Amino acid sequence: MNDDDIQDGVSRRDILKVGMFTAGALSAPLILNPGRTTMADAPQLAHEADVLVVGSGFAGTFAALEASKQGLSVLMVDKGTVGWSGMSPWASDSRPFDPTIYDRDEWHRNVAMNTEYVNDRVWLDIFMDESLGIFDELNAMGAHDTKPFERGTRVFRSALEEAGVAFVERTMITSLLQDEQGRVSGAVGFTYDDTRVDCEAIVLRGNAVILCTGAGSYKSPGFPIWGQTFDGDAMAYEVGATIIGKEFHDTHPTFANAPAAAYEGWEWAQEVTGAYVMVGPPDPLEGGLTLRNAISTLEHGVDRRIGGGPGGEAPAEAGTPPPGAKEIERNRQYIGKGYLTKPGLHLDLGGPPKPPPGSPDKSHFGHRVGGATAGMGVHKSEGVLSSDYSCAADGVEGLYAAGDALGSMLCGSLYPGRGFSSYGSAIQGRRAARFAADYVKSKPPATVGPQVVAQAVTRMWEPRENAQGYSPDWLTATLQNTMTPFHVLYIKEPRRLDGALASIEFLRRHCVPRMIARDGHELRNAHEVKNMLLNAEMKLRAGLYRTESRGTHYREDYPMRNDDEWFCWVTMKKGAQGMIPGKHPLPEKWKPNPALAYREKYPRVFPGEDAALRKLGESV
Amino acid sequence: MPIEKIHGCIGCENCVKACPTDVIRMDPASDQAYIAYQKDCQICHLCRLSCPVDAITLTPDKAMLPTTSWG
Repeated sequence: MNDDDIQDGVSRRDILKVGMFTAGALSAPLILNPGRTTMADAPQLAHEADVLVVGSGFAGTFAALEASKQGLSVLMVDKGTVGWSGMSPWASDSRPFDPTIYDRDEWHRNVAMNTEYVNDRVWLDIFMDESLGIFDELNAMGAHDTKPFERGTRVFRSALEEAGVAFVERTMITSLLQDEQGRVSGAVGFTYDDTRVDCEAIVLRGNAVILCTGAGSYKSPGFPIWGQTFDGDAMAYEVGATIIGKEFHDTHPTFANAPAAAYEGWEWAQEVTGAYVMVGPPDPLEGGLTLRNAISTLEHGVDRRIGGGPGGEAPAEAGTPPPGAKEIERNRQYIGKGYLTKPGLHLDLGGPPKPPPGSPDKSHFGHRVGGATAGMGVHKSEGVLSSDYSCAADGVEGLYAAGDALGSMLCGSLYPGRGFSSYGSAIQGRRAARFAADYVKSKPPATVGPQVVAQAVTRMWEPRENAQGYSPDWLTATLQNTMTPFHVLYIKEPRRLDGALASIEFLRRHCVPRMIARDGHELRNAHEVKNMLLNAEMKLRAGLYRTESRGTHYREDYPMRNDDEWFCWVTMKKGAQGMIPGKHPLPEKWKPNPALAYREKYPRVFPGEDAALRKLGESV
Repeated sequence: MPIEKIHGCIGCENCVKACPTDVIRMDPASDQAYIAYQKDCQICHLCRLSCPVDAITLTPDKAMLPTTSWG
């Protein structure tokens, strides 16, 4: 092991300790790399523009179009192909704010209660100011005349081409380039499709970089997000950005009898042509993707809300109305008002997604079970912190983020009802580009020396050159087995978190530097699992650090919300000795009204919480 | 099986471009798409939805990869 092997600047003593240990017991049975090759002579292609946009979903598309409108040259790089990028082929619902029919204060109250008050109210105001404009813009582009999976190829791609945006596709970006002052001004990556031509190193120079890389998961079955692996978070973290939101979760379900069948749970989205619109304001309690299915599994072995679970039964609690019933009833009042009168809308009044009439029957796939998105955070809430609302990464000049790569906390600790994600991404992409354009126009370009590029390229190729080591498939399976079980990821307890953390830290320090990749595809998988492992460490450390329960973060040993100590976001930053957790305090005025009783502020009950409240003499 | 077979490919490459996880590649000899990395299929059906001649078959089942102690 040498210095280059070490993640996060681990101390020399730690290196020696691990080194001695691994030299003995742990290094022997490594598998050989059957495709080992030297990459020293691999071709290197360079591209340059004013602004580099990484990713081409809603955030990337709106960022690139805006930067181009500002008169800048734009390079758009995508791990896949522009038009099919990320989660955008699945994005369906929207919830534009129309001031003529909705009450701004009601939206604020409801979202704050649903997300347990740690949502960012300024971002919610920005969303309410701009979402109807995005709706109109998408309408004018023709985006509402297509099915979701066709929108990218038929609408976004052609709009980008028309704007003169240059594409670099099927290229995985592995690191950002920084000058001596730490300014970001480019990125390095590689083409992985080596079927017809060998892999090539790609060096991209841009005076500002906008990360629109989306979210990620641990390639969990049942959700079409495997192409996203927290790449933006990982690259931003390595250059000194602050990352937030890792203790909270997105919790999508899949099917008990076919848990890997991602499309079957999302077919409904592809059946809808036209603007899919959520009617009404977000509900204060319903409509979110909550921790209920995980907690319900802990308590009952089944998810009582959406049905299903290990027991195979779906018992509804006696007298309980179907999910969203009250919300649906309330939202009927808005039909026929404001923008909801426009033609071609598909209106959804709330509750879980309902396939359109005539959709295929899915009952043979069994009940719905939770955990399809293991590892994924709340849309818009995990990622790069930009505390001044410019989308610029705190403390890293030249770096911007938007969409699910930006930790905007628009949705706080829990996704407060469908309809925020794609429009939120579009709004943030456009905003990031405006601030990035101001930056590019006002600052002379940063210069990154050839040795910095050479070092980044050398590190990128390492798994192809390693003679023996650990395959990305094995690392991915080991990560999944460590992190995915509900008693680690969702139902948190410090001994279990520590156990998982010890394993994840070992994988990062010992195995990641010894990864092997036999070809371009495996090299991509290698960099992806490296990023997923970094995310896992962040999730475990953030989960350990926040000693309270809130939203989708549940600690068995701290089952109550604690506004005195934890009215904040948990931050993760790279330090000389490793990952450093911290608190980002929130404005006092965002706190729930202290005059209210606990259960009025927090109506959702965590297991063990009532007992803890009784001990404190609170009424439950 | 996730993605099971490609039969009747016309070589348009749509499925290669649509696949978010690089499962499908083009065979340089035949200029047809082939399943190169089936284990990485997430069963999202974007390839099938994007295929103009409906050449792609998927099934909703996927076997777990066997995990060994080293590997």
